[in-house]
Amino acid sequence: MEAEDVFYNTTDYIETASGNKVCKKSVLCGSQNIMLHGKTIIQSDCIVRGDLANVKIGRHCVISKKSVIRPPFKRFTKGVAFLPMNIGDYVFIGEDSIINAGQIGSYVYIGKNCVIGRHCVLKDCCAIEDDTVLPQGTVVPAFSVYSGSPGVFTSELPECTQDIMIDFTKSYYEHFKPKSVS
Amino acid sequence: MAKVRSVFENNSVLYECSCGLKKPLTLVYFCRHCVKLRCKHCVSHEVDSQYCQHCLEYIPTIDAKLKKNRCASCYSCPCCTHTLSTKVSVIQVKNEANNQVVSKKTYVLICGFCKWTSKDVGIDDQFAASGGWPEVEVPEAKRIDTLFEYYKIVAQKEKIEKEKKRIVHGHRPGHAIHLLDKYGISASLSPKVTETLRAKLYSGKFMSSGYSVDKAINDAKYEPAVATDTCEPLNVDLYYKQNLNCNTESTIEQRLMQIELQPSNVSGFYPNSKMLSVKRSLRCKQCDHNLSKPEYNPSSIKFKIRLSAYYDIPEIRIYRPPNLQLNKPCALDLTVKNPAQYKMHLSFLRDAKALHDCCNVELALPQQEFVLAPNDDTLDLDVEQSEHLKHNDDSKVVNFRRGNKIGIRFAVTALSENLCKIAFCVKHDFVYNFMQGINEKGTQHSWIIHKVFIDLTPYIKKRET
Repeated sequence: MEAEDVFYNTTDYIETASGNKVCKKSVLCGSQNIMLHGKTIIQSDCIVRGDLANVKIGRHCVISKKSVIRPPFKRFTKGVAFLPMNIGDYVFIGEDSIINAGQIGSYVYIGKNCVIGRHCVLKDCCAIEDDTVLPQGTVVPAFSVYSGSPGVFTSELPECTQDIMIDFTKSYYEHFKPKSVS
Repeated sequence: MAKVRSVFENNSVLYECSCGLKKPLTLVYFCRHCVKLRCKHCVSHEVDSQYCQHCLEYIPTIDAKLKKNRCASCYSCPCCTHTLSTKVSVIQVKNEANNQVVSKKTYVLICGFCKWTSKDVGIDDQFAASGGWPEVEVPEAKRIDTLFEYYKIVAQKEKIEKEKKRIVHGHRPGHAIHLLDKYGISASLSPKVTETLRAKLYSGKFMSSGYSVDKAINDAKYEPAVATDTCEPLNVDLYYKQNLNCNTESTIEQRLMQIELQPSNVSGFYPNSKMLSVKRSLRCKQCDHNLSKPEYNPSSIKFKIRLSAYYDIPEIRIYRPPNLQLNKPCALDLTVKNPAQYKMHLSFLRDAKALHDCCNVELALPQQEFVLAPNDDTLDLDVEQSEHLKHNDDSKVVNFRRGNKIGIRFAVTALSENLCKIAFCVKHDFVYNFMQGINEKGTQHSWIIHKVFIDLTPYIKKRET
């Protein structure tokens, strides 16, 4: 099935010069530390904790409603430090997901209601099924699908995953349209 | 669950592989040399390289064999299968020589998910960060090793026999089968007759050649397993009268994870070495060309060869869910995408075989040939609206054109409420550029016909009762 049109209220969203669409109803803490590389959509009720550490999000990403992006912390002998978080290009993050990962590669699909624990590493071209909990420190290799609680390897992704994700996130962006005011 | 799958596998539109299986386009391969669709079930799989899923380290095949396909440094939790991490703690140790207190680092394996630790099973804290974790003695290890040795000899014997058969085969021209082969009669005989002749020939060889290796096996004195008729009586009380503590009893999954030990109680859990994963290449069984060959680096997503059908075969998708009404011709909107960098000529065929696969449906396929624009990654898709005029399309059939994508509409009449499946053939051209020699390029132009199945059952509007 082709992607369906999703309409948004023009008053709710800010579109930047590089094509990012950010909902005003989302919470971007420490916005000077949040970097969006362009054509990324951040939907309503999202929380991005840039106040803890730098958050870099690549091109053509989709951060769905009510998801939380929070850089991971590391405990040292003299207290706690937050580490920066990098998210690659063409990444889809489903609704209600909590992302604590250390690093997310490109062409990654994260389903709904997921919890990605501290310092998880998601390599390029991988997918997390809906309702998955990845405990801290999980490594998800390329071309693998993880699901369950704790998330375990369940299946493989096809060789053309990269182009499927590019097509998926690009067409999501194209079909994310402003509601025409009549 | 369904959502993730639907992104990577479009199960409503299926393509027929040359082996007859129906698969979504993303799971099909296209052999450019045979010009045929292939799927994972009809290609040969080869292990290219082994790697650990956690530390993403490439492990050479010999090392992997020695370590029984397990990683030397990563362990998974015996309770929940999550990867164990090492926890550092500092303890004070009294140095007996000069009576001074020194702090020392100790390491414990701990599960970040279920909080199982290596202390639970009584493994002492380690003083080195990685490795050095004691390996558990498997009670049957000796027996398993001898059996392994035995099977190695058996395998060798079979190999020698095969070799001998091949050599001796050529040296006995007097045998009937050779005469048959020589004069080309065997082809005209029934396969059954030639088969029995061959079998007779081979049975004669077995008797003579296998003897020496047989002797070697006898000499080696391997104890065969002996069946006994004494077995432990079943303790029924254990299952019915005793109170079972579910917290200390292990589950079947947990037992099978440690297949050598199979602990029935939680107290017998040991850290489990992580199994290795493989990167594999696929090869066409007909022409022996590679269909997929990944790079060796475990975290690389690049391929040396990647002949997914996604890059050569036009992708058909349902544009918007059709509103099918019973016994009424309704419009079905499809999109067809040209993945190739060449102009593609595409037409729908009404094949008798394809029609046979249609279920309770009448469809009016468009008769004309469509020209699909080449795939251009640099193109901005928003500007392409005037394309309609350029190709002189019939607006009744062609909905829109956007870059390499075309929207096609045709009528479908559902004849039953419960089932509506359509099938048709798609014919399109395929241009393949290959290197003939140094700096010489050849171009192969061929037509491909393949069958496509679309399940429209979920879109039938049920009659209101």
